[in-house]
Amino acid sequence: MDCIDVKARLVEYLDDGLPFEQARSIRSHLTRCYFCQEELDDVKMVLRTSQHALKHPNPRNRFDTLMSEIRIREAEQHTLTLRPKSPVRVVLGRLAAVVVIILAAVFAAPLAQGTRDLVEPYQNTFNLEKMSEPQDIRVPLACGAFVAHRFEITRRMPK
Amino acid sequence: MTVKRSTLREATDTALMLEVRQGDEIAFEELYRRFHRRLLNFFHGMGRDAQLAEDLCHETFMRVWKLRVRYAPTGSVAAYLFTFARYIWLERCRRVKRHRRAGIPVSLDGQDQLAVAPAGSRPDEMAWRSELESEIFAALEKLPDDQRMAFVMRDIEGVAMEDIAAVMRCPVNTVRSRKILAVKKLRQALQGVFA
Repeated sequence: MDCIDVKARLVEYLDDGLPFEQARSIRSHLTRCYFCQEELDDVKMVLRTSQHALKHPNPRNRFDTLMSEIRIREAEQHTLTLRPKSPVRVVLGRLAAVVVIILAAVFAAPLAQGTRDLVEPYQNTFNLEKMSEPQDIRVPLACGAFVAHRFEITRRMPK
Repeated sequence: MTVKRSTLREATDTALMLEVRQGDEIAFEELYRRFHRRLLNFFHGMGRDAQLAEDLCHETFMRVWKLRVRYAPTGSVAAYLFTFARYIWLERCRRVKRHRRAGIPVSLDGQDQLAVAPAGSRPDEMAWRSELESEIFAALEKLPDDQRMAFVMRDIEGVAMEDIAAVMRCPVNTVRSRKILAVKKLRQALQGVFA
């Protein structure tokens, strides 16, 4: 391994991230090469200094404070679920329900009328006692055969 | 209580977390004792603000407790906790950016406190330390978030590479590359200080 290869792998070497053979090769090179050893010392200095600088300066055990806050939050959550709804919200909720029902009725009415219009001819059709002759009415094909058949039977029945 | 505490001290992290899932506060205390410094160091490394680090560490444990029933022992507990920590950090970054866009002055990284030098340090040594730590933080701030996070988790906290990969949701080789790049950039930035 030459110096360029060694220097490129120094960080991994310090992190034990290299295969055994490569690490052994670098170790052997470092015993012979002053410049690479100096480079390694620089990297170690950067890491050591960073570790010191980045660690929290005053780590305190605040578990009791943590549990107090947790209990307060849990109590607040519990209160929220039990709290009765305000009268204003109840009234607004009911008003909204009434509006929805009215809108549904308004839009459903034409549908109901349309359905009645669809059904009415069949209602007249099936009131055969009042019919003397088959009327010229539009019915689905399957119903037409049935209606005609029923009319014929009715016509032939003794009065 | 004392017997249980001593039993829990010998339990593995996973066994401890399973107890926490059942709502065991003593197990939670032991979990806090094992991991709170590491999370504090992580947040301090990311944000440079000691008070902010404490608040975010608190928030992390509160979320762990709140969502304890969802824990499943599929990976290491360290990866589980650091995943929460990473999410909380990213949440804070997004909140700060939103506030800045709205014109509300917020700083992502707090004003650093002067380093607490060991007792007996000379004033010039304290000044040098303070300058060095400022340089380190300034160099870290220039790093992309992913490289910074990989560096802080691996080189400051010693989290396993596989755990970091699980936290950051990327392959181990990606974590390795990010970490190497971060160290190289830090070294370039600090060359003037060490010279």
